[in-house]
Amino acid sequence: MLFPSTTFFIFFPLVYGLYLWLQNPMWGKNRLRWQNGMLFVASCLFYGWWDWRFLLMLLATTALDYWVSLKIHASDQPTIRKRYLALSIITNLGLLGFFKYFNFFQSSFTQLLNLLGMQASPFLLTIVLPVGISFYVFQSISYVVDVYRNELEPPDNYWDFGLFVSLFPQLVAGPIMRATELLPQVLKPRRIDVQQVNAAVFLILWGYFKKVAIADNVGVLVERVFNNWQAMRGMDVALGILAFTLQIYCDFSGYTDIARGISKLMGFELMLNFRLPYFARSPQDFWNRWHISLSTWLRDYLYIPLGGNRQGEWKTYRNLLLTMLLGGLWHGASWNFVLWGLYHGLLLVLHRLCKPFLPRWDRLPGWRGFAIRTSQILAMFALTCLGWLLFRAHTFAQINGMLLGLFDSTGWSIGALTGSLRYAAELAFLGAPLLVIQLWQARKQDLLAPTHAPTALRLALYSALFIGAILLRRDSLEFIYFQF
Amino acid sequence: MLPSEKLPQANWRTLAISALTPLLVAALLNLALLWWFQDSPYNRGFWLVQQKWNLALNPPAPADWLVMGDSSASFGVSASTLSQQKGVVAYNLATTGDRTVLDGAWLLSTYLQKHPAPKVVLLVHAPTVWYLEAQKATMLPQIPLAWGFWEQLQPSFQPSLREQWTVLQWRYLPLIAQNRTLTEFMRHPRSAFTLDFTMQADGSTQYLGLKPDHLAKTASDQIYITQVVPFNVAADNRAALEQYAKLAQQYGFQLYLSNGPIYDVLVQDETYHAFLAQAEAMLAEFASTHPHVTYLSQVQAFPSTVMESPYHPLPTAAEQFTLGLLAQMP
Repeated sequence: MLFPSTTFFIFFPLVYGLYLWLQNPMWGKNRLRWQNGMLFVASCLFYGWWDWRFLLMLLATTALDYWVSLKIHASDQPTIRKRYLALSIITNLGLLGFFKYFNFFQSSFTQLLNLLGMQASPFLLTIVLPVGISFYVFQSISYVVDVYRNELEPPDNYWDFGLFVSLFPQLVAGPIMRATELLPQVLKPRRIDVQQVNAAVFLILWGYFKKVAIADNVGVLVERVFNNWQAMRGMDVALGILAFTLQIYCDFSGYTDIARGISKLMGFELMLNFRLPYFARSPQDFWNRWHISLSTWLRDYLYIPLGGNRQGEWKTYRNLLLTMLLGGLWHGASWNFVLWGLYHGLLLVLHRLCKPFLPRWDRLPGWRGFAIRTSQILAMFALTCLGWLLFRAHTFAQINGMLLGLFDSTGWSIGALTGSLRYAAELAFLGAPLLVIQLWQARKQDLLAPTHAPTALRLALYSALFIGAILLRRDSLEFIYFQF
Repeated sequence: MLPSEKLPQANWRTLAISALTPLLVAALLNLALLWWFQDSPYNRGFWLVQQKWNLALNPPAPADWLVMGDSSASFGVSASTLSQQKGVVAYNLATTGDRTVLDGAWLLSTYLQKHPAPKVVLLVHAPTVWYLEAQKATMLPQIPLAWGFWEQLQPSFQPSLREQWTVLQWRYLPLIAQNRTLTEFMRHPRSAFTLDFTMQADGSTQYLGLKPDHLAKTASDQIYITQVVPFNVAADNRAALEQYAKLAQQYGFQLYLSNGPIYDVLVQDETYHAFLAQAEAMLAEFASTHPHVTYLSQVQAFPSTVMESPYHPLPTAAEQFTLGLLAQMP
């Protein structure tokens, strides 16, 4: 079930109406239990709508993780606790590995054998990737690890834990919530706060606008370039990469905004996943702003356990590279994701290496400081765009071909530029609302800045977003991050 | 410093205003569009269909002759030439090819329920229309009859709830249903709402200029279709043709079948010619097995100097085509 679909527009009002009804004090002490039970069933329906077999797998893995967490919590013997932890991690990663990476590693290994002169043919399976598996597996693992670390107690019943994993707004594309943050919200009666609902209205409108008006439309420009990359030169390649930079951000952050907005309507608070990432001034800054729930997960459950930055410079660099490489692989079973992760790892390492030697001109007062900070943002934006080329391309040949095409002088001739002008205008038209709103948010350092606007301006903006989303919508495309 | 979220001060009243204003503005805009779209040719195809149905429902006088079919008939058969030559009241009710043969059968059935039967009905289609499956749900919204009208249509058809929802959107929610047209209008405000053809009071339509590039491209598209699609008559088209014959017998009018005017380059193409021959054979066979039905077998082809597109002649050629049809009638 997609957020921008007729099914969801029927599903959500029904679920929300029921939720509000169960919020009524007449239900007494059982209110929370009924509400959670109803939400769990609704979440199962939401997920099972894609394929009921995926739902069975989700229920089975959550049942196992819940049982494991009870065993860990009940035991005070380190060996037993460790065994149960290993059982959970191996099962979760095993499932993820099988569904997501089996064919990838099979074919890569076969190619390697062939390269070494050994004849082998891959044994590939027709595997359908369960929607959102990478998200809920990571969420489940973090829960078991937190129980193992004694940072959390397991809930009294399976249903509450099931709801923590499957809560429908965040189930298939995050944010990847920590049990320490979301589970207490599941276990305590929730209050529907007018300020949160007010913020939710903006988040939902803005999220839908980003997804259906911007992401889906720039997606057409992206496909034009990436599907015909051999014929693309100069400005066309640049526009294609820029369009994908907009698409992936608007698609993913749009989904997150809708998910967070819907959750706020029900009294849940999901973590921020984006903090204006294209305003980042360095690689480190970028990862503090982009897909925060994943980057902090990788930091807490991979980078720090690997030693983080506590074991000397070289090991820090190794840990950074390894974390980013695995972070890249998390996105999908393809070498271009690995390359993308490695690229960002290298950017982080280089930035860390150079940082002590860089003068802090950005701290200069007045226009000089502003100019330096703006240049840093533009430079980081260009590096990010380059990263998205690695991410979106299907093959190394495509990456190479598009990079050569980008710098091909024939693509920058007056004639070629004139031919690309229409697409540039289209991109500018679609990107302008994003730029305006984000400059506003950046200036106020407030992601909810439009909600503080004077009434007339706010209402005009909300109406424009609503009508813009209706007018500019295409036949809805799936959210890009569903495949990860 | 990283940006964060600062919750706004709000109460339930301001919240209600924030949430409802966009809905209210959208509803008002939708109403304005409904009013504006009533007579504006915002979508040429839809406009043409609506005009033809309006003419069928409220003709200035009962018709002696009716021209039915697709755009090859709308642009190719001149109702005024028929009137002048035969001294009759003639209307051209032909619509567009994507509405297949079915639309004409619905239209004629509706006409006959409200008005005296004509003496002659001329059914003209391009050969590449017969294989098309009718997209019935997308054909309904442009029919200007009261809600539930589908129950009166013959051949009968009961739309599903989802299809009725589509009809409802297209008829009453232009903001949602016609968003692509509206965005096109926003991008090209000058060209989106202008017609490149005219329509006479008798329903005949006329292209007034040539479009050589368009002609070349659409001609190659037509040839391509005949290369990849074997000739066949779709089930809905077969039922619609039977309905025409049934009505001819029931109301006692003469039904003439004909191919529309065709760009001569198509007829010279071997594959297209074979496809056309099968269409001719099908029509001849149908006419021979049904009383009141006659097939006008002469294929009339025209050069690029008088064709706007492969099946749309300019007015001079339309007159010539119409005279050619009359010459074949006994």
